[in-house]
Amino acid sequence: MPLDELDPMIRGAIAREVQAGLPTLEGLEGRVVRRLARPTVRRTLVQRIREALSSAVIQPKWAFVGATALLALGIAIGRLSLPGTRPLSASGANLFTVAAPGAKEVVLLGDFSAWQPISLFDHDGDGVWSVTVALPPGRYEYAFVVDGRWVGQDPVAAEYVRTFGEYVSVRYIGGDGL
Amino acid sequence: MRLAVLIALALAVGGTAQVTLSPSPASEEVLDFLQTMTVSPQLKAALTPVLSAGLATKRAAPQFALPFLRQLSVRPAPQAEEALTVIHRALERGFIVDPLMTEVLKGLQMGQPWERVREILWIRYNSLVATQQVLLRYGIVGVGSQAPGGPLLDQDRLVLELAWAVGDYYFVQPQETLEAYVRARFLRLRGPVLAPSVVDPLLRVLTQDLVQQIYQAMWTVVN
Repeated sequence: MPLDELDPMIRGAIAREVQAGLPTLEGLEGRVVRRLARPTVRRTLVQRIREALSSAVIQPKWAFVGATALLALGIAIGRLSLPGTRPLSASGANLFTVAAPGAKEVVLLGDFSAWQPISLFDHDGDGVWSVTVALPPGRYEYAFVVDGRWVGQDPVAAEYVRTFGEYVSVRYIGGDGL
Repeated sequence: MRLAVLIALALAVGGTAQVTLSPSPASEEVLDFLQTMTVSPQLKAALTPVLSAGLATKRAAPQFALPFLRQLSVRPAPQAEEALTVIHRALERGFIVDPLMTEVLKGLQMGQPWERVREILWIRYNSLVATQQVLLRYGIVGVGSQAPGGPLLDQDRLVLELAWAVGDYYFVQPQETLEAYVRARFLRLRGPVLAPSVVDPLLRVLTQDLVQQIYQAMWTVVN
């Protein structure tokens, strides 16, 4: 086909297309304005987190940095919960646990802390509250207070004594601090 | 999901991390606090050098002495003076006084009336004196320093633990005999708290008669 015949054909086709599309262009401006005026549908925080988690690719070094920061935060929380002057040098990790489902506050009292409270935590919500205290070898008296109620008989205690009408538990910590 | 697991794990491990007890206050802090208390100047003057010596020789630990003084400072002066008098006498005889102080703190933490706290404090003090007297008579311990400034000896810890065991027997009133109760206590103390070389000589001579003498002497101590 000669090139000088092609140009009129293209022009004619475009004209027909524009003519055919004219009805759909009617009111286009108004529709655009109304759409812009409509409030944007906002995604919820949960949806955003879910999307981020599903698409996130964590680099190992950032995962390590984040975990270290969170660990430090956890340790800081644990330390901050310990009030005042409790000065024995640490030599061993001693786990104190008490089952107290539904409790709001659980504290440990002992001669090692001059009978001042040390907070216990139930991180996983299973009702078992715990704290680990570093203590040197020795014989230690202690008790728990669960929502203000004295709990002096720890099932894992070596013995119990009762001085003021209430029991307290006794734990012996050996040379390795345990 | 991996991130969520990581957060939970880090918080769990961090949250249950070991609680390390805070550094001990300085002995000077304890002695300075004593000077601020509203007790008689005579008692302060008498107690200050004795407490200072007790702190220096580890018969009194600052981490217990300071909370003890703080608790007493919010109580009426006569109550504080009586408790300090007991500590003064105990230190003068060379006793380790930490358990006396923590016993008072325990009673107060339990919300016990002062009359009960002071009664138990005196019983504990009397048990120390009675134990020392009986063990001396039996030749199980030597005369020792009998003062707060002398070096702390193994026998000082032995006297304390035996006195405490006899006192606990009085408070607990178990079914077993006093001798069995004390022997069981010392078998548990052997190693963690007291060296076998300290415990074993006592266990060899421990009889119902010996501990019964301590038990009876507790009520006849002349203060």
